[in-house]
Amino acid sequence: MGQFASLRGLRKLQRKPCTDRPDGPRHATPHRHEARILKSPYLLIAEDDADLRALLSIAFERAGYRVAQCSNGIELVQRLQSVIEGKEDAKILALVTDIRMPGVTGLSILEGLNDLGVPLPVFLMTAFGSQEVHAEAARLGANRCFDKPFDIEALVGAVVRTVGIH
Amino acid sequence: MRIATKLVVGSTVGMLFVLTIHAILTFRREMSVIDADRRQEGQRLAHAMSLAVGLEWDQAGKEEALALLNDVATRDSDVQMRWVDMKTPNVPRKSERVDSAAFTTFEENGDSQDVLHSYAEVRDSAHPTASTRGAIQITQVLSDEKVRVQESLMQLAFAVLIILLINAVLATLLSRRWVQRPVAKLLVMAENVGNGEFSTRATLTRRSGREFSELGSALNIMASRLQEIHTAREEEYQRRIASEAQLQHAERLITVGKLASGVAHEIGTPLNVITGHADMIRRNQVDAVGAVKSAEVIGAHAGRITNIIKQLLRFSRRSGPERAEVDLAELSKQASESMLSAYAHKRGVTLKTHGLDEPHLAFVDATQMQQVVSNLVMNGIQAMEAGGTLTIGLHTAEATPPAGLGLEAGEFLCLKVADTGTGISNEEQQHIFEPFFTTKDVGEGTGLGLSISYGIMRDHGGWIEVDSELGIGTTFSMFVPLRFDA
Repeated sequence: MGQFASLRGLRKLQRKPCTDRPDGPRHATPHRHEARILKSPYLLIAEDDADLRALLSIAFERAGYRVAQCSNGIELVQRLQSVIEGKEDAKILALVTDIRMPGVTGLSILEGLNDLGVPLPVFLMTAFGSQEVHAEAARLGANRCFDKPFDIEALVGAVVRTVGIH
Repeated sequence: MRIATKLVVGSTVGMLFVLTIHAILTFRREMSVIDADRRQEGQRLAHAMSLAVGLEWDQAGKEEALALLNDVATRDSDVQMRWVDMKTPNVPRKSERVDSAAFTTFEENGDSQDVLHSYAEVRDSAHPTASTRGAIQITQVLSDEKVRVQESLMQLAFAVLIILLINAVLATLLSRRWVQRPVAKLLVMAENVGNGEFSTRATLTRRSGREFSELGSALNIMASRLQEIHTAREEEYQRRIASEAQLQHAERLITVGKLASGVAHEIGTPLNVITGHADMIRRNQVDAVGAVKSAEVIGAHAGRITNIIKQLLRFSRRSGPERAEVDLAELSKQASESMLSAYAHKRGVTLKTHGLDEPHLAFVDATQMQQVVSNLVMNGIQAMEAGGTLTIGLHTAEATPPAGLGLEAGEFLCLKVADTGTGISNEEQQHIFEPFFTTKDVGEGTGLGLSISYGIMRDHGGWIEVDSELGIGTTFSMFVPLRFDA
């Protein structure tokens, strides 16, 4: 029951014509990593704050990863959907996502991935997360859940330990 | 009038009536007995005298006979006797009397001396069929008897008076004992129960009268039932007070929790950006230009945190409105248009307005009003992620403020901001004006906007209402009083 619900949730969110860029971010504002990430494995970062997103990208790129960014939950869902449906050749190594984002929460993304049986390492970020949030994250099989403000190097280290260096 | 008095008066009147009837009947009977006795006595005397006079007449002639009569008459002073000729007009005709030797007529004299005349005929004993020689008339005066009867009547009246007096005294005493005392007891009890002293009991024995003792025990049962109900109510009341206090405490905790997590969430990300950039500089990961950029980012996010704190402080130490005469129509128009031009076109929101073209003057703080209108318009836009229509209307309306605000009904300027968005559930409507209550995603709002707006409207002697239906839309109505008395 929960499985279908979250699937429906993912699809419903995807259908919503509410992103600022209906064609998807890739076409409207081509990212500088765009060409590479379509071919080689990359990390997907979803965070609504632009500065933190940039900071995370820099840190992961410095650690040797290719990075793709999503600025809200809906973008993230669309991106994951296209990967799952095989529209992208590249493999996503891990997902680093904020829990509270406009559109959809990181926890429901994780639940959707579980329901679809996608084995993707997920690292969650939340601002002063409550015990309930951490428990829910653990229950849904998140690799780690970081409380903001956290040490970005610690996050990078955790990702490295899980997916190795690419 | 007391029941006891009524009983005494009633029984006295009844008794008086019975005794009076009895006295009248007794008087009549006595009178008739006396009358009959007198008549009989008169007739006997007249008959005896007639025999004696008739015999004397036969033996010694008329003269001797009449002398005998006179002789007897003078000796007996109680009765008057005289000889009457039958020709005397006073004597009743034979045809008018009973066929008897002796008969009586009753004559009432005007001077209250009732007189009784008895007659007996004297006949020729040798020739009984011959005509009458004459008659003996016996005259009796009845006044003495009347006086005696009146005296006995007086005695009877006196006795009646005494009886009535005794009756009154007895009835008073007994009614005091049997009616007033138990009634007073019951009254005291009823008053006590009325004053909430449900533990009082009336102690009425059978001696107080069955009705009163039954009434007393019924009242006792009533009082004990009332006491049970009262105790149950009291316990229920205490329980409710306790649970309400608990609830209030819990709600306070929830509010504080929401406030804390709202603040935490708002400042968590900027803090992370700050520490991240600081780490980068500390670890020498950036060159001089990068360090300057990092410092700029750090400054910007520190400013963001400062803003959040400022907003919180403004919320808690909100200053009173600085009022001036403001055209609320113009103000609403400007505020909503600037909000719409900034956000709405992206979301496919169209604006409709009513009543914003004519001026609606109000005595308000323009900046604060702008804040409220902008906030409501922003909420409307954000509720319509899939686009829709935002309707802003301003009109004067008779309105009744919600209870508990201490405001009186009257004329208000009413600004309605209606969206065709997702709507707000009833449960969420209950908390919508609470600080840091937000259904929005991160970055869209702090959850302070509506509570600040609510506070501003309250400061202006007005209020905000919300009316919403899930899937149909939400209407916020803000009411500003037309008149302002400083």
